[in-house]
Amino acid sequence: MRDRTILRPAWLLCAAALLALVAAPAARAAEDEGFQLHLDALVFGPQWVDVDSNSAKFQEYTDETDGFKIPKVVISGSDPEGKRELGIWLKDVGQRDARYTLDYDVSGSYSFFLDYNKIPHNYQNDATFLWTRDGNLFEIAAPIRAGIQAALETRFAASPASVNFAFLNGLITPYLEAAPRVDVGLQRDRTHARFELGKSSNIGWGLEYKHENRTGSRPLGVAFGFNNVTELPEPIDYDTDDATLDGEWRMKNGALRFGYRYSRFENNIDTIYWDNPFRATDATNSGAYQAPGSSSIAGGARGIASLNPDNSAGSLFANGNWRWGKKFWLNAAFSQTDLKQNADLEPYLLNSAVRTTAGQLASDPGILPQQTADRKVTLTSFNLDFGTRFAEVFTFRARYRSYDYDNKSSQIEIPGYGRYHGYWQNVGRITPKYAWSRETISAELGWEIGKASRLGLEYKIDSMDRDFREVKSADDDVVRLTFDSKLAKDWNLRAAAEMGNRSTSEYDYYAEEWSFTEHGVPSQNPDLRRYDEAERDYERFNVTLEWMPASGWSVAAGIDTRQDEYDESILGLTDEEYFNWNVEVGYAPSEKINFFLHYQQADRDSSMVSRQSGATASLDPRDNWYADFEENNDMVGFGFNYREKRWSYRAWINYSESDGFLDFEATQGGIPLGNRAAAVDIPNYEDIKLFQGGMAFDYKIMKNTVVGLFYRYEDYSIDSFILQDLDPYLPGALLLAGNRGDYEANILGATLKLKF
Amino acid sequence: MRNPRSWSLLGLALLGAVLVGAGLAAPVAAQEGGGYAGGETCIGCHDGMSLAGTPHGRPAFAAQTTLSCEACHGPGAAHADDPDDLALRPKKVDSLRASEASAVCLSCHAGGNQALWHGSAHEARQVSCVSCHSVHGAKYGKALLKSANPVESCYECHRDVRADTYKNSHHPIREGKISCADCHNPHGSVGEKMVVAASVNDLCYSCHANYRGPFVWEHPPVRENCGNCHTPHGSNHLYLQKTSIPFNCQQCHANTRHPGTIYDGFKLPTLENEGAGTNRLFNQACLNCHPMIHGSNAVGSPYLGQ
Repeated sequence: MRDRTILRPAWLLCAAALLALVAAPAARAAEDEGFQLHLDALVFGPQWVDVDSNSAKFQEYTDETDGFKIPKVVISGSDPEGKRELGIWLKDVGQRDARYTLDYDVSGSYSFFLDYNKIPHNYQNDATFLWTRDGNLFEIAAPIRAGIQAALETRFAASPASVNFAFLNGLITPYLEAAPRVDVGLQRDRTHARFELGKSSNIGWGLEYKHENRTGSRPLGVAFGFNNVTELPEPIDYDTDDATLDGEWRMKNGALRFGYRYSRFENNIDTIYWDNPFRATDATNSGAYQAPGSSSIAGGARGIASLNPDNSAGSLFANGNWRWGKKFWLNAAFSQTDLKQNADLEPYLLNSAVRTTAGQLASDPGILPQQTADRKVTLTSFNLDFGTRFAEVFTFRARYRSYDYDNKSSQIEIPGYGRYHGYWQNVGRITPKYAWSRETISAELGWEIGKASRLGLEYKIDSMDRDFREVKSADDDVVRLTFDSKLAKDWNLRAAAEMGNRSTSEYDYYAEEWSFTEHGVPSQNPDLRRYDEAERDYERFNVTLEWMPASGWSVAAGIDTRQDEYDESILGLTDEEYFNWNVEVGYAPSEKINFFLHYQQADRDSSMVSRQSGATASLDPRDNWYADFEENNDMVGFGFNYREKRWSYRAWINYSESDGFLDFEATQGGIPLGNRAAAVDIPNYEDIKLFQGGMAFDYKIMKNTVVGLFYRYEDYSIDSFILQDLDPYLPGALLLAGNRGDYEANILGATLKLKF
Repeated sequence: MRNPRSWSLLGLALLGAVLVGAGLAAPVAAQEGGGYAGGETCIGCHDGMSLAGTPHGRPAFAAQTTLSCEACHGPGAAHADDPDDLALRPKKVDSLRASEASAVCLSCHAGGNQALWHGSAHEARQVSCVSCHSVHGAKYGKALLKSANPVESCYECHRDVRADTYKNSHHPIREGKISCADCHNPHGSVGEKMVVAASVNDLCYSCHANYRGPFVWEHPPVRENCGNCHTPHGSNHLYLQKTSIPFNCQQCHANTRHPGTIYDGFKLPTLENEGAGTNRLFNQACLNCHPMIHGSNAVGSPYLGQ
């Protein structure tokens, strides 16, 4: 289901602005013969697409269809003095991935820039969709649900244990087979306009406006319980507006910039309601969160989901830079941003059978502790850095950076909550006021060795302070050594080595109890260390070498590695390693022809340890399980360009392959394996292959006319553990199960390129 | 927990003050002397170097300076008088030390996007303006880039990022719908990693404002850094995740019952093993039931469900 947006006010405004701006110089041209509009280039022609599958991956972000195409139009305008200039670039005219850009510049006076960028994002095609959507309501016809419920009740009464996957599958499959298919995807239409005044004077002003309209749908997992996941195409209708007024005061030795930015996000569908496929009437019991199954067939007939709410951000900012001679510079920046969100709060659930412990109807919005969210956060950032050169060849630079996330929201306390639309969970909760601040202090000493080399040594302390998390404070100490050099006329070298150590305050595993009104024993395992807070050592090294061995040749090679170790973490992420090497060769034996070849290998290996528990956290290491994640990525590309006086030819191929493996281990006798002898590895931890190749031939038939032919080939395949064998109905889940898999595509086109 | 800030700040301030004093006390290099020959004289011999049709050939440039070629290359009268004397040749910008080459451009382009060049990661690593731009041999637009487009310009050094964009989950960079400069300012910025915002999250919210919140129920690592779970340039896993769900979640959640359960290959819903499959391992895994992972506004949803 892809919503199509008709004309919206912002759209009309932009179109009007575009017309006005094009019309303005045109009108002036009429008055002033000096200004002339000129069609510089026009490219058009037919395109044929042959693809063997309706996979959404083929056109994930593009609009590749059969038909007549206008890939490029360029219009320019100027006056004889070149004082006023206009440029218009139209790309993929009329398509879902079109882009239109206008730039009008009055030299030294003002300029205007307008960009309209359409970006599709397709998730999956031909998805199975059992519901009928009406606005923000997803419905299943009442007789269907009543029939399913009756069958369930009869079966459950006869034998609860017989309410199993086979039975449920038999119930729902006839409806799924008759359900319509929908494409799930978004369309982002982005407008960006900027007006600048006084570009060449001491004070310049800018006025900027951005608008994005995002419409369509994307997969959303929602559930009526552990055994009743109901994936929906979440309806998306977002409007985001950003307006900025900024100024720049330019002085002899520096400049001061300042401004205010306001951003507003509006979700036109911020709540959805959807029918439970297995219930036509409301019912409740303590096992409803596991329905439909052997323990219960109760639950809510309709669910409610609060989606991303409207919000705003107002930001005041200023930054300046100053230079004193050639020896000293100073930069300073400050910004304060107020985030606000005050959307209406929805009731705990809609199930009319559910009452709170106090006997109130849980579906009554009047029992909520407050009616709107009332969320406020102030972000304050400050940055100061300076540098100086001394003794001609040495530099020193230091930086202080702080960022503060100050949560000013009220704490909301609730006596309990609706568990999966089916049951009142009598556990009091309170929203913690998470807040954090980060400070970074760094200093770097540089030594310029000769004319073309530099050695740098940097020390940095990166500190975090947090409220309501396990680790209150942490310091990352980082040392970095860099060396950059033009070793010789034809050699460039860049190298860096970095080591970091994060030390932390005590790890408070009771921290998660801050969200409970009555603190107890956390369900979290006490041996876990969350990797973003855990103590850690890391090393990073990278080097790049560029060499031009002979005329026309260029060779570049590089290595980049990083290793993180979490030695203090008994459970959680324990280590992570990244290794990348690449090589690139270019050869241009003459001005007519050049070849290029590049290859890259990037491997990632990480390990985690977890521990499986029952109702209470296990402290027994025999309940541990281990996972080692391996990803090997290779990419190779090759191509050449050949240009003669009248014709040109280019061809290229690109192949990338990702091979992942997930290795599991667990001890026999522990909880993870139960009666099993060994854990089962996942060999297809995302195995993906993408081959792309193409060629293009252009022939100049006249001075300004070029005819061309192009051909592209794409072959994509994916073997993904998480997407394999998905059906519309699987144990505990009703899925969209659309097509985002393999495809093979051929695209052939002809173009006529006119240059005027 | 150590508290290094006070002494660190003090130490840095003291060291800075000493060095600043030294820097200010040092004499500024004398301006280069010599007469100017005029741009037309230069073009008389260097006929391929005309600025006509380029941004530097526009009236705004002439309004800034009348020195034409010599605004960047320095006075050339002596060289014009004796072209064979190598010692008299004006400076060739791309043969200068990186800081000196950039200083030539910064003499005009010191504001706007270039304002924070000093102190930027590129400046510190001997990258100069002429590493990416060419006044006379540009291949790309008004920005006068040496490369065919801005993204290719970045790939000249950041080759690992190019491969990332070919991974299964990626921002539409290789499709040409966004470019590196949408997120980074290669000339320097207030934020780390040269991002065009005060923090990584502030940058992500500029397109993904739906996740900006603040929400009723927050997921704290999300508020601190999107990069805790996502990798921006490309991933083999859904939604640009560093590690695939459910394991991405399990690296931080080893609670009792289902969060700490081993979800190995045995739990996959293969055709031969459909009955053992669990909805915590297939499709959206944890997100099947906890979709509001970036924060939930449902007051009764502390576990980030719907």
